Amino acid sequence: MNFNPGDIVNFSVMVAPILFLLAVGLMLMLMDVLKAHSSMPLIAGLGLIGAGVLAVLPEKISSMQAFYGMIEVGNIAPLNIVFLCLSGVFTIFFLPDYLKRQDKPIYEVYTLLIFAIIGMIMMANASDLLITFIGLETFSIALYVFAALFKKEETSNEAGLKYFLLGAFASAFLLLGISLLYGLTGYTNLNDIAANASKLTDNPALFFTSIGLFIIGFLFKVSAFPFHNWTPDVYSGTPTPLAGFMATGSKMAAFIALGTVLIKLNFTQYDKLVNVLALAAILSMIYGNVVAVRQKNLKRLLAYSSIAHTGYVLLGLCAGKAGFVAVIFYMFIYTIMNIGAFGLVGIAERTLADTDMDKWKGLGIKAPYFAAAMSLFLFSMAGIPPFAGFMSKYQVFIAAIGSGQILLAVIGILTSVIAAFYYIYLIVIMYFGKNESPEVSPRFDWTTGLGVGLLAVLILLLGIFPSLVLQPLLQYMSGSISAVAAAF
Amino acid sequence: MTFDSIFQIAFFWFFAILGIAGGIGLITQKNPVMAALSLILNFFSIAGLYLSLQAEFLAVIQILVYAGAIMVLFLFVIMLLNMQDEQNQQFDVMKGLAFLLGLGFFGELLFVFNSFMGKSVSGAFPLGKVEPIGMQMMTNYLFPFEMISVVLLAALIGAIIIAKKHSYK
Repeated sequence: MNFNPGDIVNFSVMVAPILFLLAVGLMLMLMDVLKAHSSMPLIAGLGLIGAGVLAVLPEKISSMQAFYGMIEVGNIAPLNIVFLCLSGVFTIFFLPDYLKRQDKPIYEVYTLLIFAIIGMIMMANASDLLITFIGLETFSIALYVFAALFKKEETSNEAGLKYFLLGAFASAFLLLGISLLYGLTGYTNLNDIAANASKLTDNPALFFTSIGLFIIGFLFKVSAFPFHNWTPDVYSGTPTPLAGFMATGSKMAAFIALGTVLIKLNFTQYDKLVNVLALAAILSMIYGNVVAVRQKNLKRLLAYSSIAHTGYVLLGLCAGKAGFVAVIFYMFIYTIMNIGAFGLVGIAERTLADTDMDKWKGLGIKAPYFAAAMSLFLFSMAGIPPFAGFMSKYQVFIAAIGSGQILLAVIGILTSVIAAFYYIYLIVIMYFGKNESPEVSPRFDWTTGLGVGLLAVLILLLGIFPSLVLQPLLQYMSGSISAVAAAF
Repeated sequence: MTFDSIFQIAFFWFFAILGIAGGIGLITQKNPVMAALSLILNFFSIAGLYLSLQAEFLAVIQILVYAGAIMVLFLFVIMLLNMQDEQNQQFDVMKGLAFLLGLGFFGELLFVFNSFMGKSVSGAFPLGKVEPIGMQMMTNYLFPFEMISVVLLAALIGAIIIAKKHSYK
């Protein structure tokens, strides 16, 4: 193999966003030591925005993969980086205020958040299964720590231990799947595997076992139905804004990675795989929505609703390549509204008991802006037009119908009705609950106010003009932006 | 059958049986220290299996890292926490169901692994010696090799967050 040091420079430029984020993470560690705590959230946020800008800046790239086919830099990869970085930015709006009010100034969180996003970017843009796994482990470790952040509290201990043990177990399944794929084809590189697809079908039992184990690992990470049990406990024990991040960024990365691998393997030609995913989608939608109806605690309600949303995204994934844009679009919209909803719950929360629904009675009169913002996010999650949640649901349903999965789409629409019930029930509690003085008193400071305002505007804007995100997605997907330059 | 291949087969079975015995010991021993020692047996026999695949480097690393460093940590934790023998656990329906499912999965994996018999993996590079591993790590696998440092750094920071004495309550 011809190796020259100049390659490394070229490749480093191609993965500049990752290296930049790494530098930001190290700088945050230094700031922690130098006691420059107050500006850490700002630096972290600006660093994430900078990495997003760096990702979309180059118009021409010399090849689609950097580092000898390890990581994708062409196609949709730059947009993935932007979306994942934005999920971090949105979280940072709510995090400092929450940690201050909980009186737990843990500044290492920002460094870990940056590292988690590096891991997510690596996993989402991996074109080698080795990178997929390293990325997964990077952000998983950060998320385990997030779950156990408030170590003196029993719920947090439970969340951390549960997530860690089950997550390690799921990683083992994923790794076994990857090693079987390697044993089957002799490659870990996705493009090489795709080029040797005939080897996959030589031994169908082995192929389905390996890809099945691979899917199990990812279904755990996105908390799809048979692997969802950890979700409510972990989300309710995790610091609220970080729970929002856990439910969005990591799921987005996992869905993109799973989708990329499945599409490269051309999975829609294997009915068995599509059926497995469809079954997981159906059960997630039904289970998540039905159980959410009975929840009395907001964090648990949002956890069950996130299981249901996973079902909707899986529904888009079943549509194969045609549904992939819808999947990413859905996850981005879900990121906006879910981080918003978790952030608002975090603003109202002093103790975990504050997240009980009963204490929110009459909040519509006492804190009108707060209740209005919460209602907006809930309406959007329920999928009511003109909010963005409607457009994202519409996209996945259209994708599912377009690929002939009519039954799936019908179940999706029916379960959305159940979902609308519990989202709107909460709005009813806030506005028509009979309680003159609600027991929670949410108060915005300027960061949280700015964050909620920004997310609310985005929800409205993307609900009316979804093409603002869909258009670039389609363009990047078709390769009309960031095409490979003939001579570089 | 030549002497070499008989020796090879005997070598494999010796370490395979030893490894399985170690694994069974790990989950059946009531005393945590004994369970940890069974795990060491398992690690050593896996190192033996690596040797039989001519992966000398992996075998050495396996013994150094797993049987050495990690097991010392395990034993320290067990002794510091002064863990008691595990109590007898009641058998219930869920455990029986889990056992049956696990058995089914095990059978499936056995069936699948059986299809590997007598085949060699094409395209794989020779892993055994230090030199090819070093070459691969610094060329083809440079990016994952460097990025593993991020995993380690994240784990380090995480461990510090969880273990550090904070001033807050």
